[in-house]
Amino acid sequence: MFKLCRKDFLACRWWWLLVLAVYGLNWMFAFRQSLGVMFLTLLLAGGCLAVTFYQDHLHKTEVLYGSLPLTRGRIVRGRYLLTGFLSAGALVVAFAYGSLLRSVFGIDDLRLSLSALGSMEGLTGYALAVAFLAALYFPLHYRLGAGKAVLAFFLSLLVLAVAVPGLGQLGLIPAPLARFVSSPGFLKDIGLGIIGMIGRVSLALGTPLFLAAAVGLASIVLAVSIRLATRFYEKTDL
Amino acid sequence: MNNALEIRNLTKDYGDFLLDDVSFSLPPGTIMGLIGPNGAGKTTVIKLILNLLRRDGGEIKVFGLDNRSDEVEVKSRVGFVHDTPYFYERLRLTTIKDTVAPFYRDWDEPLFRKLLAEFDLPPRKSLVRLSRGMKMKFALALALSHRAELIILDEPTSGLDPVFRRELLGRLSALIQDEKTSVLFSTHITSDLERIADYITFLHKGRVVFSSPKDDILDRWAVVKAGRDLLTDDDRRFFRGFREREYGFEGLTSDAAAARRRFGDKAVIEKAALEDIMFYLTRGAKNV
Repeated sequence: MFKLCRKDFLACRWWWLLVLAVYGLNWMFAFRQSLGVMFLTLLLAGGCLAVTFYQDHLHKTEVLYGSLPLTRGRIVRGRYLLTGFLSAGALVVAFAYGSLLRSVFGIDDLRLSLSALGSMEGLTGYALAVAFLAALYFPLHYRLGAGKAVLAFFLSLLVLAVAVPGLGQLGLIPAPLARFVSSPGFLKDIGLGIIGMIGRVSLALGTPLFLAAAVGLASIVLAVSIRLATRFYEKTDL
Repeated sequence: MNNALEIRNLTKDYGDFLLDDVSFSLPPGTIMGLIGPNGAGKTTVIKLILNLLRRDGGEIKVFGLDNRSDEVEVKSRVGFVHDTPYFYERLRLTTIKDTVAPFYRDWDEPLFRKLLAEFDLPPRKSLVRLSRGMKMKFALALALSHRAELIILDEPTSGLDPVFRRELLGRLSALIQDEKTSVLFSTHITSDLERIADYITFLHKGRVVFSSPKDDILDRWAVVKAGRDLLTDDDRRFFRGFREREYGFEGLTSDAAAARRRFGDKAVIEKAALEDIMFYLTRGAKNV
């Protein structure tokens, strides 16, 4: 799987740099509009992943790599691993950019945002967000293909956003949690919202139990997602 | 000893195209030509062997191993050239190689360098700046650099100049001299196969018309040319395909000896070239 990630790095490194540059510009404006640092970091990782898939699609390289001594399962797992690497890289970039912008422009909001992201709650929230988004996207990608999958992915997120308050009202999830997730504060800065939510849960469970639960939950969600994505990809004609 | 490739009752249904009950085998140390008109199913068969497509029925064994359950082992020993080179085109040749080579346990870097030099391929040039022929050469260099025991080539000679085509054929012939390496070679250029193939498999509309040693085919199949006055309805049924002209007719038969008995000295009976066979069989018994 590391070889697959290396392959993607060799094939897409210059495109990733381009995404990095574009996001670097976005950051300067985004912070002034109070958009969250976690949100932008996720977008950076997602942008790099999107250009990677686009390069595959453009050159139809799935046929080439499908012909190499690799199983479909390994190819799929390679993509999840790549998502992990890109997300970790995006986090490093976020702190580097943030520190640079803070020192150059003296934007005070950045100090708060970066320290929130760098906290245990922030990093856990980021990792969970990555795991959840990857778990949602990849089965759609390998079932529907890249174009339709993106549409279905955002539609699913929209449905979830609408469904959470409704589930709260029906008593299927705790009402305070539903209220919190659908509050204007949460939606204004989803990253800080997630961090706040995790802070509450962590406080209620205690840090060790919370971390164990977070790792357990992410593992289960990812395992199910990988299994589904692999099954879909194995049924795909290249 | 296991066949290099053994296909039994292979089926793939696309709805508007059916690959139907395809069976053939390729002994080790031989070259098989896979011929047929456009849309006959050649690329489908090759993609099924490489497990790029899911088969609906049948069995594919490569070196005696199932191509699905032993996928990694099988593909480690297979080299391939697709009809279109599916590479990241903006990358340099050496970078593309770096994205492929790590997946082969027997990758031979000195051999790859040697092949690049032999094929006049500039390692630091990006693929997008190469001609189709050069891209094919590069794909071939990759296919040959991990000491594959089965080389599968899908239309490799289209777009190549005659000099390199002949070099390629020579190289493929040399490859099988170890009596271990085998080649499956799909092409429209049947003259290439007449030079090097040991076996010919002819596909038409998703079915195998024949799969036999090339020499048997060239011995048995013949084109009969004679005046139209010789042509009866019974003769028409005798031919696998024929065409009538103003003064005469030409017909293809799979039984040259029977044709000699039937027409004797009244007709010219010539050995059929693979192209003749493909032409007449594709057109069927139509007046073409």
